[in-house]
Amino acid sequence: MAFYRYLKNNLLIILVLISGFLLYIYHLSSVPSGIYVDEAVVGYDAYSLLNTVRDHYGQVLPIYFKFFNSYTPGLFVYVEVLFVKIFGLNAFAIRLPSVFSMLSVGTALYWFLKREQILSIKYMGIISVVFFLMSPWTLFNARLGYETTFAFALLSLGILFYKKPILSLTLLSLSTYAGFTERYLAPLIILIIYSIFYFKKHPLKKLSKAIIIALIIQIPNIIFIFTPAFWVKNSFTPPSQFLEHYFSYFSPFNLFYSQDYDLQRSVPQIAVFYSWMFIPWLAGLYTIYTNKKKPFFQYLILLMIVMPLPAALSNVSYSTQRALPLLLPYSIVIAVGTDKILLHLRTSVRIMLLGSLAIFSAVLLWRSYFILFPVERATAWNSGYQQLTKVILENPSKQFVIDNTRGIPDILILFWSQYSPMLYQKENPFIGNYYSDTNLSGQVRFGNVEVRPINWKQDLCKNEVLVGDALALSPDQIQEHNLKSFFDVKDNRGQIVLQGYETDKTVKCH
Amino acid sequence: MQFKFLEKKPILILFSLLAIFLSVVQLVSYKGPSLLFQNEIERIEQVQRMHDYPPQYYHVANIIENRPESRLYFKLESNFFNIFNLKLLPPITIPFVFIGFFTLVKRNSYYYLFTGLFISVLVLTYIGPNQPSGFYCLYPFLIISIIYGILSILKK
Repeated sequence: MAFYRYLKNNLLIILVLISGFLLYIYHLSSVPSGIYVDEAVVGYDAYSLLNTVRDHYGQVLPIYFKFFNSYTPGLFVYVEVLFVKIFGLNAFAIRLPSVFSMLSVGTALYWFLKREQILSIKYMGIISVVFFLMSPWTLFNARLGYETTFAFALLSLGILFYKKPILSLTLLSLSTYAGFTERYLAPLIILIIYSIFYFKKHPLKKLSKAIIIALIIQIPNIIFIFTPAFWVKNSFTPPSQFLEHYFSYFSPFNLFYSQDYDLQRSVPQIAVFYSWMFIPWLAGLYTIYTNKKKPFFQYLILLMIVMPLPAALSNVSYSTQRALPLLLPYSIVIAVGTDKILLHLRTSVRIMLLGSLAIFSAVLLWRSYFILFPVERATAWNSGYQQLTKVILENPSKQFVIDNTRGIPDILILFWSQYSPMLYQKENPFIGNYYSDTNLSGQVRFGNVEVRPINWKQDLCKNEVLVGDALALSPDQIQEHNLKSFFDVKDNRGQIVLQGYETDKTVKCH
Repeated sequence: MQFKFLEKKPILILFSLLAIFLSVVQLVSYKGPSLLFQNEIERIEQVQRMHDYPPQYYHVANIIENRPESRLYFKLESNFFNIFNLKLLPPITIPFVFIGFFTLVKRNSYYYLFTGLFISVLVLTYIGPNQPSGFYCLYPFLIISIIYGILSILKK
């Protein structure tokens, strides 16, 4: 009986979350088209852990995953193990944890807005969650198969549950094992929570248990803090550029109109928020400014100030991936601003306005994400490698040399072919200290595949298939070396993204 | 406070009139193409995008990518947000612009300053960012916002 009452009281939010789930899993395997290397390495390492208890470099249960020397905090890979076990090694399985991560943030956001009572209009909490779930930034990250979304979810839940210190600090502490950005943000956020909500009323008393738990969770990080692996991703912005990078995360042009310069991280013709959200964002900022003495709004202001810091410090201009934690405070700001604007309108006008905006946003999202994105970003998402793997598997007697001058194709082929991790580790043993040896040749050999730059002098004296893009195998080189076309892979617009040419040692080797 | 005179009504009206005057100058001197003009690259991209839609959505593709109303919307959107590109401002002034703007909004009696801002934004949305003279009709508003931002912080 109690369950039915609960269901009835929360029917709307349940329907919203179900709709969000359906939106996030719609064509999840094929949009984004292909697999990005960061997804492939997470998926293959999860597969490797499942089969050998080691990552693909042969390290037993790593804390940080080597991932071509990025030493990514590994919690997400361990979560992926479960999904790979249930659904197998494929794009759907590795992207599904991000779907649940974003839905969990949406759910927590709803309860947070309801509990804090900062919104005046009756259904504003639900409306805010709808716009949060369908915002381009949320949708894009809900359909990714690497760690950023999961890390964002842990951090956001820690922020939203600040009234439950043990849960909050545990989640924040755990988030440092899920993403790089969170390593810097979690301690700052704990300080903010403490100084705003606990410092005056309960100096350390109420938080002591939570702090002890958070510190215990940090033991592995403390142990590894002195290894190069912990510090490998620290290239700091020169002070002269810091302010420019930092304020780029507050620029309406970036937030509501333009896209990330990195093609892999952006969707064509749509920014991280819809352009109309500029007005509620501005109204929300104004509301926060005028209420800045209230603890909740101070919390929001400080979150907005600290969230872009790691991104601005990382020597990359405007990265929507590194600044993902900003999505949460900005979504709350937009919710506050929307509420403020709608308060001045009659109910019928509110309904018409919100309905029109929802339809308008849905059309823009459908156009950008489901129509243009799979086509225009296909190469950035390595869409030809599934077909290449098929060709390799269909021709086991041929030797393939895959050019890696502009990418990391080995992990994509390992992923799509589900190559035996045990065999791979035997063929490519990693020699050296896993956490301190940061040199990688990038040249690997497994099965009938060799991944390295093409060596024209040597390769022409063998019978093999050379594989590369149009730059690796130019028409002049093909003609000069009498190469025979073996296959090509085209994108949706008919452009060749990968091509394979056979060498014949009897023709050109001298 | 030696800037006290800046908070007086006639000064704000003067800034607003200056913004309107500069907007008119900027509009009159503008000799760029019409809002619906497409260069060769934009035209090729538009045709390619039309082909990216599945065949059953041909009519939708035509509405979104080809109709003058849609093209006008995308162009105005682009022009509008180019005005709000904070990269064009010296980074150190940005917090003052925000604080100054909110301080001005908070003082409801200063709404007439926003008439100037509104007209400047309207003109710049029409003429767009690709013009040699830049966004100079916004300067009066930016200057007064920065001053108000600084004053508001100094007062605390």
